[in-house]
Amino acid sequence: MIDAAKRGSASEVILITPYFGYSRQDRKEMARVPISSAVVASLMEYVGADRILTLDIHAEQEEGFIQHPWDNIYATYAFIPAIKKKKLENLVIVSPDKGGVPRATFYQGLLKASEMAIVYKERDISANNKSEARAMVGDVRGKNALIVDDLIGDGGTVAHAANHLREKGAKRIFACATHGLFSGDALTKISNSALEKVIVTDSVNHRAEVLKHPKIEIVSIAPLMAEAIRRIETGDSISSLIVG
Amino acid sequence: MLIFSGSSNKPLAQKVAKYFGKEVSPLEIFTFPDGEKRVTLGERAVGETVILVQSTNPPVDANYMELFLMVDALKRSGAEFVKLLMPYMGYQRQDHIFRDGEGVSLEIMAKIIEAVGVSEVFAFDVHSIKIPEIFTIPTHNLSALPIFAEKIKESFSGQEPILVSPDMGGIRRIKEISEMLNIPFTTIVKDRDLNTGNICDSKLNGEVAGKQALMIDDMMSTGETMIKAADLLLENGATGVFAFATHAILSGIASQKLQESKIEKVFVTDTVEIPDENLFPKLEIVSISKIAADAILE
Repeated sequence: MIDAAKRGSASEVILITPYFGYSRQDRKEMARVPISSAVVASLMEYVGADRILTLDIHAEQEEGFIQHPWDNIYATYAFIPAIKKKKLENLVIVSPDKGGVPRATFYQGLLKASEMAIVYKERDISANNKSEARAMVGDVRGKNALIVDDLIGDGGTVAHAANHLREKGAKRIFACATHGLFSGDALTKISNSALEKVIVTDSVNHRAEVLKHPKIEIVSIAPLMAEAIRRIETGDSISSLIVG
Repeated sequence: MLIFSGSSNKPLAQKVAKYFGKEVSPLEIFTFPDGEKRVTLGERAVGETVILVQSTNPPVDANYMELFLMVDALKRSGAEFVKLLMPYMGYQRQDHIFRDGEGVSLEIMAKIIEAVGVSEVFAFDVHSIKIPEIFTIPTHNLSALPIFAEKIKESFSGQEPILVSPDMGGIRRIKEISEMLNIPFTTIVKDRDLNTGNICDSKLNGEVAGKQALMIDDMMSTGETMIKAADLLLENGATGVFAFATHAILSGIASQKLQESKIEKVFVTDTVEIPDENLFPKLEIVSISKIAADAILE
């Protein structure tokens, strides 16, 4: 499509990729592997993308994979009204792994939540994609918890974290994640977990069984993306859209 | 030197490795539940010249992606040269703009192949001889015609067959094998609807009456071209029709249609791995592994 646009004399091609596939393979986590995300990003650039706009890329350092501008906006602002509507008092923001701490801190500030907690996840790379919640930092006893993450793949991370929080005495447990892929048996895992509700955006086109899942709520990032696109066009600040 | 293979054509990689007295190096391709793949090389590649075998037949995009990731892993692991044996090159039919608004898909693939770090490409019977020009790295268009010529000599000796190109696009190919064998050729003129890709009309450009007609083409996907051409040849008095095609894409129910057609025998090569369920009694497979190995050694 980029090539067709370029050959059709487009003066600039702005690639809007709300969900950026392969973004989790952003580094060499072991020897003799590719950096798949860098392969994807650079091929978009070789083909002719002049600018990329993503939503909650897995690691913001990935913007450095290309020479062209890469803007990454957060879905946080789309989530906040939906979370506030739930009127959760005594709320703890939970990061389901070590890497998500900055995101959790960001949510904590916006929601004026009292505390933050981290669930430690040990991922055995050689066993491929198997992860398990093991331990946590923070106190959730008698409190409401909101797990925040960038994406839900097969649901293992978020379901384990929720169950761990329940064991530690959390009351109502929610999760919000920008990209709801719900691959594998994610829907079953969510149904069987201690999660009350999972909020995701429409960054990917959801299949019918996701849309009608009783525990899944979808908020639209269309207004936010539209505003970002408008600002790219007019040259207004994108960063002010990010930091609010 | 090391030989690695993607998942598209491991049997060919093993055959090629044998010519070098080597084993195919281990490589793991794991697919995550969301469909993303993770490639892990099972052997140290630092300073090595690597022969990477990957055809980009269907599923074309998945095979290309796997290729890009493998090359990236090899380069980041210190491989010095990556020689890509891509016996079948996907997107080769999209080598120019057919209609306004299109891109040139093959050129995109070529750009990315170069960008990820491939140093040389070896392909077989690409759709147009101009394709190697799209690349800026050395790109070799090898041919399966010598193997087909041998097969024809062996199977039709003492007879007077005629070679047939099922369309005008194959004129260069048919001339080449005709010179190799010193057997005359003829062509079929077919018209294709650019919007649907369907063949709308065809006619024969010569005499085939009383002769065995040997059709030569670069690939066989739905098999329709060959099947329709066979009917036309028989209507014009050919005594028997045989089909030769380098790339056996055999999409949909092509195998069944070819088996049920009036074609007596179908000869293809192993540029594309044919799954067991697509094999059929009339099909004979000849290997291009020796030609590939010789070309790489040069």
